[in-house]
Amino acid sequence: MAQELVFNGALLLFFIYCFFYVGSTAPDSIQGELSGAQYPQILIVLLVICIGVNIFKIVKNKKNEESFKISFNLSKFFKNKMTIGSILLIAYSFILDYIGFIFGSLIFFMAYSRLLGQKKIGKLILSAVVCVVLLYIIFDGVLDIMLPRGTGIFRTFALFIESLF
Amino acid sequence: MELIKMGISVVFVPTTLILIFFGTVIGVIFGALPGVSASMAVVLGLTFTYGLDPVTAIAFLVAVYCAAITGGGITAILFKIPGTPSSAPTTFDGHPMAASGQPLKALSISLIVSAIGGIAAAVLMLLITPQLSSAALKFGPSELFAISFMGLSVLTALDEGNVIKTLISGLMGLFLATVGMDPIHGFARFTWGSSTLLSGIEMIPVMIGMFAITEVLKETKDRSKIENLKEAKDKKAHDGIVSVKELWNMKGTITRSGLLGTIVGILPGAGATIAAFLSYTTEVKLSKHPERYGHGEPRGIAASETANNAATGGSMVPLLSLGIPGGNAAAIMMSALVMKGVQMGPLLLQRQPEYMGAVFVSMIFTNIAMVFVSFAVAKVFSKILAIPYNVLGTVIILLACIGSYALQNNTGNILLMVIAGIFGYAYSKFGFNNPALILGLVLGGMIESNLRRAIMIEEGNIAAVFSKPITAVLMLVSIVSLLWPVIKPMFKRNRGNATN
Repeated sequence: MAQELVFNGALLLFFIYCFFYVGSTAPDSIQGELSGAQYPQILIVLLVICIGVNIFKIVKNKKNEESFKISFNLSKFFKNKMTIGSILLIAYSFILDYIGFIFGSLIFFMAYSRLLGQKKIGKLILSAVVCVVLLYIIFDGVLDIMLPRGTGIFRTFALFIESLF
Repeated sequence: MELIKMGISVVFVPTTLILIFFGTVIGVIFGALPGVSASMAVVLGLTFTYGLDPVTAIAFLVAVYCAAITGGGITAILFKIPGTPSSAPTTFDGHPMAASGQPLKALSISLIVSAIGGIAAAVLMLLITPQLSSAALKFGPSELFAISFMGLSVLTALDEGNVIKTLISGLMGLFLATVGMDPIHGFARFTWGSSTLLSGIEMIPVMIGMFAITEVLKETKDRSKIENLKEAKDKKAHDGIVSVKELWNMKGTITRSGLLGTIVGILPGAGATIAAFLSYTTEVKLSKHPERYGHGEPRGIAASETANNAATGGSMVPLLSLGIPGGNAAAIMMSALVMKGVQMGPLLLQRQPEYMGAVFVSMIFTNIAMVFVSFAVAKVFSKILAIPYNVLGTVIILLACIGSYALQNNTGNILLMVIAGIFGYAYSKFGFNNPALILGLVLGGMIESNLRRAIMIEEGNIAAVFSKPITAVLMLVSIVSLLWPVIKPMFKRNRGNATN
């Protein structure tokens, strides 16, 4: 519940900032029209009202609870599978440009599959190689979708693989 | 007739036929896999369409969508696990029937009535869409704004228990649609100096993130559905296929559910799931033996499966005639077409009628092909379900990444998809509504440009914009529909007080 309040509070502050941001960056409005700044400002006002009502509802429900504290356990947060999964996804999206689809996906596949419960290293490697190679053949080879090649040695390897098709 | 000929000429080309058949196979498989909804199946299918022309792409996506809805019924019957939410009512009678030793009969009822529902809805779509499209051609910006707003009016119905949060979600979608260049004057809004944001927020990576990545993240944290499969996995389908006579005895149920499904499908926002539940409850209410439902009544399977497949045809009506999506899957298809430069709206069918023909013929072909494909899939499904989720979940992520990347050969889109997926997870964890946000994002551009044009034409006189007869009626209907979940409890309370 406390997390929900923080989330709503952050949304509220962000939209209040956006209201003034668009007002200061948009050109002056012309009479007789709804300007490019006024339209999002109307949406933001509605959003702020709705988020305000939502926060009021959360706080009203809080009154019935005996204790209300915002606790944050860093080690618990980083042990959470959802957090690890998100970090893996973000890392994957960044490394693709550097090490390319083949190696990036192999590493990602093994890491994520491990996160989802596969503990046997042999099965991890086998499933990662089979799936990544299959996907590569289907999309890069058959459907001609150019997948990230990476840089340096990874790019040379990707170009070599592509030359095989 | 001309439309059908046009559709046949587009679809009955070897490569297109193979693609549609392939779409049917992956649609049935994706639909049958628990944790992969019909919308997610369409999102994953998107990746295969990047190299296709728009007409073939929509024919392919329609095949995936129809087949996914049907595929959901297979696991609902055999394993009591609905592959898609719209197959949930099928478990009520489908699984008890299968458990009592008639799995093949239950499956055959499900697949045949699905095909009947899908084909009937496709025919109705062919009849209704051009009329609606012609009528909409007379519309100006104010009427088009009202129609787009009507698409949003179902927001509160998406989650009646959480009206405020659903409204916030929809409004956030509308807000996100304002990021990028102003559609009238062309200045940058909410870009914070970033050139990437100038072209606006790419809808497809956001959709893939919110539908596919969010779901995989949920499964990563809390594996709920997949673990239960083991106990039922070894069941073998044996029994007779449903006879024509038995089907004939269900004609009333099939007709009612087909009509109801199509109508519900046409309503923006209300999709196959609502259609299936509504049809099921209607049949229970109309039945002389309601006590049989829930214990293996064939009409229960027929009601749910006819309606959810009929809704697929219905959802294509507003998409093709007015350019507004009838549901999540239609919203994804619309984004795919917009991405290919297709101008959606009433003019689409006037200028390019081949879209209508291709969708119609593809639906007919898919609905026939999926009966055979589904039987084959059902036979090997215990093996497909044996794929552990650590492989399936990761493959879904890789498919989602390829789908986002291939849009513009840009890894920035993968990052956008990941952010959308993580945000979607947090968003749904706190009770907000991801489909509502997507609906707002899809309709946002149309709503803004039509509203602002309408106000410009009337030189700032807002009253004149909303007092046009069609606009006024549509806005009134939309507002009532938007407020209905708030008003309904008040009505009930008043009625309760009056009774007491």
